[in-house]
Amino acid sequence: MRKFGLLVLPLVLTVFASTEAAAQRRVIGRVVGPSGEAVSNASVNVQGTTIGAYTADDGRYILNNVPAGAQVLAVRRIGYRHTTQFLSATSDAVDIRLDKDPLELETQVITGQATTVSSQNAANAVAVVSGAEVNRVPQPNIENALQGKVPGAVITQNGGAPGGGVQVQIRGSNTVNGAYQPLYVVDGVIVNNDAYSNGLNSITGAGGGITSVQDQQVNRIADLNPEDIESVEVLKGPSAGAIYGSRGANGVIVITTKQGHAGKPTLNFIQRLGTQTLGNTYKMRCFNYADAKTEALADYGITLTPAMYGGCVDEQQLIYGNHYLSYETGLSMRGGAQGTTYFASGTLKHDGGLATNSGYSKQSLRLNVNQLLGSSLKLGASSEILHTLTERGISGNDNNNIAPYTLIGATPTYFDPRKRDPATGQYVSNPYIGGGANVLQDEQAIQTPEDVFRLIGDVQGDWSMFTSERQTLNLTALGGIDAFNDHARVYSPPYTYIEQSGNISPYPGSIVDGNTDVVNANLNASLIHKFIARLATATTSVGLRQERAQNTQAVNLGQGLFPGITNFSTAVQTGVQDAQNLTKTFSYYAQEELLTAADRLLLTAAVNAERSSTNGDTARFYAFPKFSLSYNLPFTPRGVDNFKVRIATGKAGNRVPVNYKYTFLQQLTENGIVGLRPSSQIGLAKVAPEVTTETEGGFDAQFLKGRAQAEFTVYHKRTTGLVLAAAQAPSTGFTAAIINGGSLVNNGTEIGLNLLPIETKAFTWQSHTTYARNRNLVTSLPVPAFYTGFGFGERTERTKVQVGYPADGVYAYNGFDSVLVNGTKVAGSRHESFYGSEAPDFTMGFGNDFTAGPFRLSSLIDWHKGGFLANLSQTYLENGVNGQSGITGGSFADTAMNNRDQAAYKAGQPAFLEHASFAKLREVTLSYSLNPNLANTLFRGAARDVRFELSGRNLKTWTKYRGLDPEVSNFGNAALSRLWDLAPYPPSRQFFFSLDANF
Amino acid sequence: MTKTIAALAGALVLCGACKDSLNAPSQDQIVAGTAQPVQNLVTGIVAQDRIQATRFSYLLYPETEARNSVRVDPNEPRFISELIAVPIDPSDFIGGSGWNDGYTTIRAVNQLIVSPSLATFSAGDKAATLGFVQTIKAIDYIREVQLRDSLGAVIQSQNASKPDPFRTKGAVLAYVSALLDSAYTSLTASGVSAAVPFALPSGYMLNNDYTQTANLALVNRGLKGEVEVYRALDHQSPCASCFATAITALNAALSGVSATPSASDLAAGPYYQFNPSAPESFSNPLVDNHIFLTDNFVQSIMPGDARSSKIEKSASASSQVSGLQLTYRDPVTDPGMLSNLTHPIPIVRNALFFLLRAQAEAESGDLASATADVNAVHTGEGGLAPYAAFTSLAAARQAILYEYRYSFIYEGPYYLVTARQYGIITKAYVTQPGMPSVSSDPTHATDPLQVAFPIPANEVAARSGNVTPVP
Repeated sequence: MRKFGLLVLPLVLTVFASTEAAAQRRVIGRVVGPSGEAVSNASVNVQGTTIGAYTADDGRYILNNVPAGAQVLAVRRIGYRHTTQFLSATSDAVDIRLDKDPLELETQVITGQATTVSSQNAANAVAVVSGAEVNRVPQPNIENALQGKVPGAVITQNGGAPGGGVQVQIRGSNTVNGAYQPLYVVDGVIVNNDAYSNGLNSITGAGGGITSVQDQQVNRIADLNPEDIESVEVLKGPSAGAIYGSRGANGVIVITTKQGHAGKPTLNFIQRLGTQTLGNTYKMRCFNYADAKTEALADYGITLTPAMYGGCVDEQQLIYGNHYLSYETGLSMRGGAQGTTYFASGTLKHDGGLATNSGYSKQSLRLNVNQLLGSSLKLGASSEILHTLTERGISGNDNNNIAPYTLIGATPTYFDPRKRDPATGQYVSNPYIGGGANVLQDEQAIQTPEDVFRLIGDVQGDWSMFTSERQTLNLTALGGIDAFNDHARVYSPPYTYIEQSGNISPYPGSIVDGNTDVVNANLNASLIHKFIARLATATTSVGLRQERAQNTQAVNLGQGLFPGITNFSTAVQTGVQDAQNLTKTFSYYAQEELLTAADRLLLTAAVNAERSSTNGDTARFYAFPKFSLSYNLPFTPRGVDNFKVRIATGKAGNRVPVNYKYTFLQQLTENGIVGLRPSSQIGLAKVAPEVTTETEGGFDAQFLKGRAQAEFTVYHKRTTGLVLAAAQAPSTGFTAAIINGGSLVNNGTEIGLNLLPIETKAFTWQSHTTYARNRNLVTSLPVPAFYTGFGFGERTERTKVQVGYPADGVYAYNGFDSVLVNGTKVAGSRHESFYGSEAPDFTMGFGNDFTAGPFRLSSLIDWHKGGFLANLSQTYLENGVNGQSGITGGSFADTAMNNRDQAAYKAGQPAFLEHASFAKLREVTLSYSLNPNLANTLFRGAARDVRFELSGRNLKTWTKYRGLDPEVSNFGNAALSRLWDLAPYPPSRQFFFSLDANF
Repeated sequence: MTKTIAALAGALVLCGACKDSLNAPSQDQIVAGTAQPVQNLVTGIVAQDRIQATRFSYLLYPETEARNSVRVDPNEPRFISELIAVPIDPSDFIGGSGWNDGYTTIRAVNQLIVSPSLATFSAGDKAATLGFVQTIKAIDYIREVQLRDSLGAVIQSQNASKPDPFRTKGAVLAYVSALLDSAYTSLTASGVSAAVPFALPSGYMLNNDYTQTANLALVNRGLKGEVEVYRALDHQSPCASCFATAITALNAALSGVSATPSASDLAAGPYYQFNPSAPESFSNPLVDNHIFLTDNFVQSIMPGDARSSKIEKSASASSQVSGLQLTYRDPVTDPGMLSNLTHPIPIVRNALFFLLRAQAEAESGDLASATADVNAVHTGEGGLAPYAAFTSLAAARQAILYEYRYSFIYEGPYYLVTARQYGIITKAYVTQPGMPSVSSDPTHATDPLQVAFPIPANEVAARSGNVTPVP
């Protein structure tokens, strides 16, 4: 590694061989927009030099030390088209007019740890989502805000429960066991997006243990406040994200929060009020009294009396038919003077759930401050302190007869859960299901609060060490921290029927109390040298990054509680679970960017060399290089403003999961003595990170004077050295061994089309269309094909990793061959068919904005074509060989469907494997901007613009899928086997009225 | 300036190259390969052994196959749909279970045997340790054979890097027989410590003191007798001389026990005990309000049998699943009794040895001795009048089966194993009144009888499908 440093050092130093004498010319002027309005914060640069300045509030700029002779000034500002202005040799003052860039085609995109380039030169298809796009509709969380806006990103959610539980997968899965979600970086801080179980499993019995991945966990990136976001950049793969080393393979989502601007303080106030309605329900079967009486006797042995007959009660509406208030109040202020800029914000937010005891609340405070010290040192600090309270209720897999859709499916509609037992005053017991749980009693009695207190902050410095007319040298450093405590509790009081039944545990009353502490820290340092020569601009950067992540989770369980007591130490049965891990990473990087051919050609070469504590060899540096080229053609056909071709290739890793290098001794306590026996998994002492190599290429074209833009990208990704848990013969005493081996590829296409079809003074129409298609294929495996994820009965569908098929291939089978050995049946081959990939064939997003005077109508339609879901929710309401309803003919109104499904299932057909295609009206907003004069009058001159909005999310879904929501993924917290629809919290439609005022 | 820049750049590189530590050892668990005290390794073995023996796969599924007990849970119909009248799927829920845990225990024993910590023991302590852990290892092999029967099993070698050959039931039993002899030699070696040199769970002292090597040797002989009876009744390769060997071993096991034993004599043996509190958090797994006894089990008990205390009418009948609804349960499964959570389960006990000896005697033609041994349980635990001397092997077998059924419900698959040995598991037997009938599912048209649990799919896959046992 020292050799690497010795190579870089001369490169940095060579370019200082000569420095030019500074000139003394001073140029002033003003930058204005099409209507003559001042444009602040525009960058004005003398082309071919390092000399530049930003415009003030009034659009004025001052350039010092401008070289003598004729020059060209280059002006950039997001929202306006890049412009150059000739400056004659004798002129010292020039005003510049910018044209609007309504499609925002020109932005800065990240290329390195501390470097960016104009999107006009970017060699990768980096998706940029502005803060305005993020918040066009009030968003539950940042992942929801990206749905339909990032080509190549498939975003799924565990269910409709408030508070998150959303996962992002970009350009397909690169792994089987490793991390599968992109890395999130907020203002340079690498933030935690893990999901922690709350212990719901202890009362649902969905799996073994106190907690389970079936707990409908929340990915913690949901904590971020979308209102603070200035922009989101999505580096989709290794060709762009190689600089993030072993965490770049799945893409990197770089979030930049709002910063202060020089100028007088501005205040933004947002008030939103809204509610939600149940997005979809199953059509339940009703019975008249006579039929109900017959049915109750036949199926339950219950003699129904008129008093017991409740008519036709839809428990879905009773539980999820609430319209609780949602609200959000946000106040932010930004400004700056005398070298200080600041942005401060505070948000209070609450999303009411559909059910009682479910909802999501957030309070956050942010302060971003930047300070210039002298002319060469800039210091900054960003911090966000937040608290979230997530209450997700009970949903998902359930083996204890407690979850709502378990009860709904098993209970005939002639039972009315609203009735009270006159003796106790409690809701009546449900005689139609084992345990007698009353769905309303459970909903009102069981609490699932998860409190998170979190701090995300950083301090950063930028020292301009050296500046000349043609060279700059900057040293930047950033120290970031992301620390939070996640306190999750599940309390199920002892008096409920379900607790009294013994279904959950022999002893009524359950409490789970878990604490997760996470501290992530990273330290970045970079040295950036820029050298502007006549023919080229060279930007050289070298740096290092150090990361440390410590996670600790301790969960206590108590079962058998006194009424009102939630102290787990008083319980009859207790259990404890503890997990701790520490990860350390260190990396160097170096990057060279060469912008030449009149700024048309950009060449980039970079390498990140990283070592990590999770690798088998912690001393070894793994190199992740990247190379890219973009070229704006000098000659374009008529009507084409600009045509850029680009190609990029790069490698990135996927970090080895913690502890995979070890073979452990499992601890088993008996009689107060800690026992040790071999764990079931053999670690790999030399385990190495998975490596994904990506090559992408394509073109970006602008037409019709900025009124149309098209992007086309194809990519090929190949991941090698998959970290696999290879199944062992259990008779060895081990069930799995970690190995590096096998490979898979992802090939895809992404297309973006931005149009401004109509632009008049009276009416404007903007259109954004995205298309993405990905095909995954396993190309080699050193082990036999194996199943992934969960299996629910051996005759339902599963996903399997098999050479020649997608890693997320969906298979369904119908039993086994009968192979008899000595008169006894043993394993035979499966009757198994491959159906396709669980991921969609393609996704498209259609965004449209219509503006007419003060009105603006925005909409976004998100279309997913193809993919599969295992609709096990359907089986909860069906009756038969694979149904859980106790009612002959099932609980659906459509009994013929029940009978068809069950007959098909019995015949060995995958009756519950369904296509998951859908189109959703994801977002729609109608806004009205108050006439400035009226606003001025109403707010006594304080308000600059005031806007009212009516908006909705997920208002309409078009699908043939029979479940409640075709984009559900109960067990989405996994790279593969994400196709399960298993009695989730139902989807909702959300409505908001907003007031947005700037002062 | 150049010097400043050079210094800064150099500092940047050197800062990174400095010997920062990326050492982040596991904070969760102990890494294998480090020397650990024998006490911890032995506790690991007995705790893992308890896991294997107290899973449903050992205590409940065989009772379902034998039509004695069923778990009736509307939320998890696979306890019925994958166990009654259909071939068991060799993966996941039912089929794969009851295999892995035993081999994990065996691996733990194999690692202890070569542990450097054991090498530091005195000869007497080492002999006691080896005698104990090899006896435990033999128990785990016996369980593998009980569940997989003629499908065979694997004799695990010290080399874990590749699967060992699949062996016939006869070969495995012969190996276990020799293993028990080796353990017995250690337990009775000259100079062996009187007690094992480590603490054992209190269940080993619940009914007699099985931390004493002399008493462990008695258990060892009982197990030897069990293995020899299995060998003798192995349909594939019956061992003619094994009945005699079994009787000799069982005589040794019962040498200190009255020919007309009391209930406590019959109960004597090491037990698994349970503790519901953290950090152990291990309750008796039978405490489960979905576990019910079959009507046939309830109706077949003899009038006056004291073991009818194991049958009580449940406060509420089970839910109806696949047409099955049951009413009776064993009180030990009842969550309403707090003491059930810690109710111990025998590892082996003398009653088993009496019945095994009765089997060997009956099959050898000594019906008088067989009658006496059956009566030891029949009267000692059933409180019933003794049988008159059996006049036929069939009568002896029927009586032996009865005792297994009612004395050993939820203690292990002894009834299923014996019923299998005697060939009574027929289609007529499994299709009992009130039970789901043989499935008409066309994919399950054959072999619904399940005389053995299948070899787990992972074991089959790791051998590329070849699980044909070799002698």
